[in-house]
Amino acid sequence: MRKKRRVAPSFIGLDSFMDIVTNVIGALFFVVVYAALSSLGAKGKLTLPLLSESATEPVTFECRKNTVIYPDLENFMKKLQEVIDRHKGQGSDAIMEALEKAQIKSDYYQLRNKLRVEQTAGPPGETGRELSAGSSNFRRRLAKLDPSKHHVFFIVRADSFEVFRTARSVAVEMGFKVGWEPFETNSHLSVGGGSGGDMRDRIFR
Amino acid sequence: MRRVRQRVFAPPSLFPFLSVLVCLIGTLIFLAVAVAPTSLEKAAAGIELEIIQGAHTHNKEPIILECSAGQARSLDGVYSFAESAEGAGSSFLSSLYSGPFTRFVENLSRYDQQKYVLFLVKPDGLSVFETLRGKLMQRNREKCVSSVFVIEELAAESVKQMQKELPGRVEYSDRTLSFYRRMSADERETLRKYFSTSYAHSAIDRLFEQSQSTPLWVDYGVELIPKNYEIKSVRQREAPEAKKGETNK
Repeated sequence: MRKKRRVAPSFIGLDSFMDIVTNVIGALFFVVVYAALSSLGAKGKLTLPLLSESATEPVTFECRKNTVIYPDLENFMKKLQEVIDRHKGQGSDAIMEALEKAQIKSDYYQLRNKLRVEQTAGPPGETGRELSAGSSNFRRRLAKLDPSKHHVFFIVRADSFEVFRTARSVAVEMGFKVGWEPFETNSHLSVGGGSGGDMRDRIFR
Repeated sequence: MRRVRQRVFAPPSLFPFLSVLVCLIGTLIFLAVAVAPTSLEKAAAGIELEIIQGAHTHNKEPIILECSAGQARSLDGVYSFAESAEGAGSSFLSSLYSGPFTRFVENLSRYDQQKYVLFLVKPDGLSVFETLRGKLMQRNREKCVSSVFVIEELAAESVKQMQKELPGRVEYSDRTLSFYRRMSADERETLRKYFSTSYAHSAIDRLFEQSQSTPLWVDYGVELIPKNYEIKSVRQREAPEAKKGETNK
């Protein structure tokens, strides 16, 4: 009987495979850390704005509850001015009474107590992440405007500094001059009074 | 003769070692990804403020005041203004014209014409910012203005146009023309074209002369800083093409 020859088991050398795996994983690890660091680092950039006045028309947005809303303040002010113009020459008491009767309001503001423009809860705004998307309402609204005729003005509530910085960079990237004014979270706006003219005409360069 | 049995030596299997290694790396990556957001956010909260001179549309140097919790402090620690000290006057009006910040602004106007005040406002520093900014604006509007009676009546539309052309600089009411800041020759020419009488033109010339002796306007800027941001250091860098020619008018 013929004796069966025993075949020695053969092993695949895994050394080189292991080298490749560990190197790839190590490289990926560095890439992940670098990407995370650079994306967070961009948040830390600061500008050195200097106040200037603009001759262009303001388009006002508001940063409230860390979202960006469009309060249509320009239309609100137009309605208010129309009431004032209708009662011009009738004395300040008559104008105040007319304003009270007119009940001027928008989705986000309401005229109360004569010239106090008080906040009302309106539809939710867009978050920082939504703003960065190409299809955001904020971007679409800006795309309809002409940077040589309009500038963007932000009313920034104290709870929304973070989203303001995102919205501002989007507006600047789209070629607009930008102005802003910080407000306490729940404070109202006032019409008229105060020195320095309309705050919406202020831009920073 | 006894036959010598040939032994076959098999190389050690690396599979268990490799799987342990890959599992370990996987676990480490998972840990890093889980821990990174919090630790990196903390690191990012410390902003390194880089001032690139000439990289902006102005070449003024900022004096940076960080407004937080009732105090405004310069980053180099030289200036510090407490809100309580600024409103220390016996009345609202007197508090506008006294206090350390008012003196600071006057000195800035006299000696450092290339500097401006940059307020870095944190959410809890709105109140001190409004106090200081209010004083600065009031001072500018009251001290850096010149007025003349021009006699000539201007139509409302022309006034609007004039203010659009010289934003923030000019006011017209009751046939009196007021100009803020020091007037440049170009601005004088712009004003002249809105008036037709020789009296108004000579009044504008007088306004030009007057405006040259008003105290200098102190400019300011505002930057908003989220609450978790801490400014760790300030670095200055010269931009390759510094813009020139910006002066305090």
